[in-house]
Amino acid sequence: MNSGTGGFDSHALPPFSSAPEWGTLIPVSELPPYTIREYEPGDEVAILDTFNRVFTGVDPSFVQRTMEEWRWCYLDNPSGWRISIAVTDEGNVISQYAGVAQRMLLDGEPASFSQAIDSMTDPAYRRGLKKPGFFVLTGYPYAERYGGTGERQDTVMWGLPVPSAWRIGKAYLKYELVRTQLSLLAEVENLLLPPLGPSGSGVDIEELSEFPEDAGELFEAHALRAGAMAVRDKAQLDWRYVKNPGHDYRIAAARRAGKLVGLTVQRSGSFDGVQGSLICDWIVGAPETAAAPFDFGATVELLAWQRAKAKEQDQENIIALFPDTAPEWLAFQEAGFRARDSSYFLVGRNYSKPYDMRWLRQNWYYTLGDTDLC
Amino acid sequence: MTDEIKPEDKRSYTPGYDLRPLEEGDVESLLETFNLVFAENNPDFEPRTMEEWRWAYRDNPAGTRVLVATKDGEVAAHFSSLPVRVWIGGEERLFGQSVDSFVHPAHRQGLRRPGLYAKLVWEFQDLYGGRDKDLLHYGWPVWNAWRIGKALLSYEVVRTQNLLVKAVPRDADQGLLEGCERDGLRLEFIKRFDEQSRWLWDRCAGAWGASAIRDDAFLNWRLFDHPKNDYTVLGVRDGDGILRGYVVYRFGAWTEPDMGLLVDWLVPSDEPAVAALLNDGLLALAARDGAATLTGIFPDWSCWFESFQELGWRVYPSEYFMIGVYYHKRYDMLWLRQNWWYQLIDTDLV
Repeated sequence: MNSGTGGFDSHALPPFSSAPEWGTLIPVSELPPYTIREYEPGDEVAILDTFNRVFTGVDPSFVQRTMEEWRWCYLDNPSGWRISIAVTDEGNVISQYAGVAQRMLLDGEPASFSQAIDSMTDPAYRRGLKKPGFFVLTGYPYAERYGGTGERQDTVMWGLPVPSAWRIGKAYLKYELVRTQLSLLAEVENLLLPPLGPSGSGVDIEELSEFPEDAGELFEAHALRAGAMAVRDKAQLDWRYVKNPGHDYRIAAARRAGKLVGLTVQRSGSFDGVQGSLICDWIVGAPETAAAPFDFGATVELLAWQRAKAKEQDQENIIALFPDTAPEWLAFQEAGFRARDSSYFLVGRNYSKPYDMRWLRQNWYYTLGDTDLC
Repeated sequence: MTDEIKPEDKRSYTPGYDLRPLEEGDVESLLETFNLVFAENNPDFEPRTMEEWRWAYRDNPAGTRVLVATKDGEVAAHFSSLPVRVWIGGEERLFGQSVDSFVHPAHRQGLRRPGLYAKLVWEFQDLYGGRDKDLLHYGWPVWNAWRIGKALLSYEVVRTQNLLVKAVPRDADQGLLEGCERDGLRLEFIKRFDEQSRWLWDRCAGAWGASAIRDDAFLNWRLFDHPKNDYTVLGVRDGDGILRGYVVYRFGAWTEPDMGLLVDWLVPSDEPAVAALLNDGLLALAARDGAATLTGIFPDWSCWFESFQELGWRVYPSEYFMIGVYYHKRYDMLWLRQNWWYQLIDTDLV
């Protein structure tokens, strides 16, 4: 996924619901007749054509998205896809409002969130309508269709908008701020791994080419602690990292006496303009016998593995993203990470009253891999 | 012909109530209602005194921003801000920190939504906010105030607020407080600010897009004239007696009881020796008072956010979030998040 560098439409969120009906034809004198509707098989050619034209127009260094990447991002996602498009009678896509679905455990129950990405409008049509424009027009039915607590609906839609999208979103579409996002950065040489004591960690680290079957059990234990967390079972993790056509990731598992107690994912790249080794995912379970929030030995061993990967790939920094309410936030600071300002801010819209922005701020666990930034 | 809008045409039109700036004769009724409202569900509430009220609203060198809704001669609702002189965009302007708002319980149901509170705030915003008036009204609202504010009053979040916290070392050198000279710099207690505080602020403020002007008028009023809180100020001077940096400390309750509070820090970013001496002095003050921790805030873009972490301070989450209502498009929340220097001294929380 490479939607973070575009202009106005890069990361968007859907509007408040009150909408033209799904599938109605809305002729406007300056425009060809068009329909706003959900994605149908075969639309991907026109979607991709418009996407690559739009994003090349705002970013000359933009690398064109391939059909393989598009299919991976949307159709192959085990959590599903969310796509609303405005399409002409000739089959040209004028505008898109789209999101990556995430199966969630929310207060222990299955639910769904989605991250809004890849929203776009063909520049040729941006002036064809008065406000609110296609950005909102495609977003209305998107919100109607996908926002809610029913089947294939999202309790929360979220995103990391660029400033211009944020300004429009809060003015017209009721975006709200979850948090101003800080990152954690450690210089590789300054990473301080605490001593493990004479008996060591009792943890074995194994580098993997795909995720183990018991990843889902580790995830469930972690998710119950967090309150809200995107599903990290084998199917989801393999899709996100192993089958990703755009990037190569390194994966490590921590096991104690054969039991999976931690997983982490790494790749080199840049975050917010800083080059480094990215901790894309991090799941370390709580120990069975202690009140600690996570397995200390597994944490130390997995951080040591992350450091080794960073050195192997000649990276000077290690960069991670956590909510500041997660126990990892402070633990990583003790290990030498420092909190840093970032240009990102997490925004959302909830479709179930209890899960408002304050609740999300306090209870939602996520890592870089939840976003399309790594 | 007049440009004045008729009362019934204003969004704040509230039949039966008089919405207007505070008059001298209102103060006793205002305080009575204030103490009634804030004592609700708060057994620890200490009634506000006339002295405290006068300090906050009459003695503030930046002026007074108090609006009341009266009915039958009594104050039914109150909305106010503490104005502060701010340097922004190459000129001196005003921001206002919204504090102490209330509606008397007997007047909470008397109007359909939007209620008296929202209409009073609208009147306040119309009267005092604008491109050529106060540029920003800000505050750290409780959750219920935030929900009303975002729905009706144009509140927006500047940032979710992180705190910098440090465990106070028991062996901090308290001897520093007896007098210390290091690298030609002298640590001393400041009892009153003079014109040098403005010189110092001038050296620092060039790096900031917006900041409350830390001159002697503001600092002496905010710190030394405060009728309730005791603040300790440590300064560092060079051999010529020039103030090169200061830190303001208070021992008290905020997020926890008996905590050390870093209230204000003013040190040029290229003065590491000054910073080191003040940091040592700050730890000595906290150790002297038996504080387990020190807590402060810095904008996360500032060099001090990073430097204090290197000194062992850690970044914690908090329930607080800075919100504002801006009146100039250029200075929206995104701009303020990246450019506005503020610290605990800029709030009424400590």
